Parts: sequence; structure tokens; C-alpha cells
Amino acid sequence: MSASQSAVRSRAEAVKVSRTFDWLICFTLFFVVLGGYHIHYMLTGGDWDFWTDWKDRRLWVTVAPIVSITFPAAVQSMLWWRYRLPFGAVLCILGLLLGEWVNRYFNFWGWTYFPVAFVFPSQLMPGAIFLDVVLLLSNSMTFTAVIGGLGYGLLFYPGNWPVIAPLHVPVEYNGMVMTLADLQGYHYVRTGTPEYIRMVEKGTLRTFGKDVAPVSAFFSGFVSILIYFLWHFFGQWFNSTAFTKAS
Amino acid sequence: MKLFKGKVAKLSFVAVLATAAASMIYTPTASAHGEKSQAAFLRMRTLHWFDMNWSKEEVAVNDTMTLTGKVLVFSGWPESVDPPNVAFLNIGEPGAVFVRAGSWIGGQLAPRSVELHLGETYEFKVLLKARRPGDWHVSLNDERKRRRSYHRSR
Repeated sequence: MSASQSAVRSRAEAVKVSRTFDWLICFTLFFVVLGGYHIHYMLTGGDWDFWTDWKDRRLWVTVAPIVSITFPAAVQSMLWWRYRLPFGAVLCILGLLLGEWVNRYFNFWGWTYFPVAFVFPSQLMPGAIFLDVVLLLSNSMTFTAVIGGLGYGLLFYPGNWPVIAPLHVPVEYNGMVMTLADLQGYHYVRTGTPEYIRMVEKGTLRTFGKDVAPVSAFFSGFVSILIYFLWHFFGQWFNSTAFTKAS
Repeated sequence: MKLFKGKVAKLSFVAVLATAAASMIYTPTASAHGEKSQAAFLRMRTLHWFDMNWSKEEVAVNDTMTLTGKVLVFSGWPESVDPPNVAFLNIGEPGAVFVRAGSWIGGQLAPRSVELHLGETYEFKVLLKARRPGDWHVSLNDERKRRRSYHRSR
């Protein structure tokens, strides 16, 4: 067979090859997105996501949505602009969660014996569903960036609260007040100090009363909007068909 | 070209075999936690650990052992290191193989960070409860007690 001859002999065969190629691309892309997103998230939000005693009311609430809205924004721009598929954000988060659980189970538990109840990842799914639903209903990337991005930041803490609340219960430990999360960090030895929550709670951010988390969440939502815009354009850039020949 | 390709293939095969053999035949237990990778002034001009004692060499799972000793905080603390205003007595171990059941500095329970004063010597004690079976290297921060610091939990 010369280079000018087709590799397929019929239209049906061509369709079959095309579909096979699609599946190969989908499978590969899923793991490429998973790998890229996971590395990005570990490098930028790492410890806040690794340990229950780092899941505080200020920095975790602020940082996690800002650094995690990145890939969803880029993948949403690709899947919506090119294919009108409204599940870019959920797809990203599912990939991230798969990667995180593989990491937590095999590395954190299997390799270094930290109990899973101490190292489970943050809940990001409520925000991702919100982002996709806003895009689906509005059909507007700008609206999704502003309302979806803000909602992504605001939903993060309530989405995690049911899991985290029991670990923030104050307990008395030999005459000292600690949280259950603090105690986990104290008993299960790791490098670094095990009292992040106590050190980060400096008594500031009380402008609107005693609650710190809403202030952090609004700030996080605001920055998430900006990051959404930025990563939307990264997605567009990767999405470009400028170098593809039209038939 | 063909000869070159053959040579590369053969050498690659030998390299793969050598790597596999090296990783299977010689797998020593980790005997340090990278202490020597720290700059000398950091290791030798900040804290000096002495009178170190490990109460047991071998403990059953759920049994405890005690690590005691003293630490001198050098008065000539290096300028380039932050003063020890927030210091935490930690343990070096390969993962959470021992649970830290309690830690004391100068007889005072210290589950949190404390301030250390330059020139002072502090006595300390750490109570460790065996959690995972195996041979583990348990230490504080110093390489000098390395040889005495292997612990077996069964």
C-alpha cells in the first residue's frame, strides 16, 4: 500500500475507525486532564487538601476554590464552544477526585499509614455542578464566569461543612482546648507542626461579626471570577483550530 | 546504522537488567531522614540534642515506648535562621507508624508549639505507641543517635 492509498476500504470501515479514534482520544484526554489538574491542585492547594487539620475557616476556604476553578474553566470552554457539552466542570472534578483518591489510598494510607479519615480530599462537586448548570441555562461564558465563578467560591464551604464540622468540635485534652482535627494532627506524626488551625485563627476578619468563613468565601468567589476568565482563555488557546486545515 | 541500532538495543537491555537486579538484590532499610542534606550551620549551630534514651528497642503493637533527652538551644543562634519563637517538638518516622500519645517539655505537657529561649537547656519526653508492625527508624532531628534508633514493633 502506498502512502496515497486510503487505509480503509469502505465508508462503514471509515466510520468505525473514526469512532475508535474518538474513544482513544477521549480516554487519553481524560487522563491528561486528570494528571495536569491533579499536579496543579497538589502544588497550589496541597496541604489544605491533604490534612483535616489544615481545613480551616480562612485560607482553605479562600485558596481551594481559586486554584481549583482553573481546569474546569478551561475544559468548559473547550467542551461548550466546540461540542455544546455542558459537563466540563463536573468531568474535571471527577478526574481530580479519581486521582486524589488513588493518591490518598495508595500513598497516604498504603505507603505512610495515615488513616483515610485524616487525609480525605475536599468536596468540589457542588461548585462544579453549579458551574455546569449556570452555563447550560445561560449559554453565556461571561455569565458563567461572573455568577458561576462567584457561586463556585461561595458553595465551597457549605459543601464541605457537613464533613468537616465534627472535626472542628472543641475537645479538652489534658486541660487544653483543642479540636478533634488538632488531635488527629498531633497523634498521627508528620513533618511540620500539627496546629495549623490554631495558628491561622488570629482573630482578624471579624468585620461582619464572629464568622470568618463568609468573608473568606466572598473573597474567594470574587477571585474565582477573575481566574475563570483567565483559564477560559487558556482553554480557548488549547482549543484553537488555527493550525488545522479545513477540508 | 543497523549496527548502531543493534548496539543501542543491546546496551539498553543490559541497563534494564542491571537496574532490575540492583533494585531486587540490594534494598537496605532507610537509615536517615536526610539530616546531612541540611546546611552545617543549621545542624550544628541551632539545637544540640544529648542524653537521648529510647526506653525499648522492640515493642508490641499498641504498647508504648518513651523517648527522653535534653536539648540545648545555642546562644549563638545563626542570624539567617528565625529565632525559635514558635517551636514544636516533633518526631521523625517513616509515616504514622507510631502514634504520639503525649509529649512533655520540662515536665509540662506540650501538644502545641512553645517558645524556646536561646542559651537554655530543656528536658523532654515523648510517649510513642506502636501502630504498624515493622522495623522503623524513629528519631528526633539529629543524626548522632542514628545507630540507636531502630525500633521493631511486632
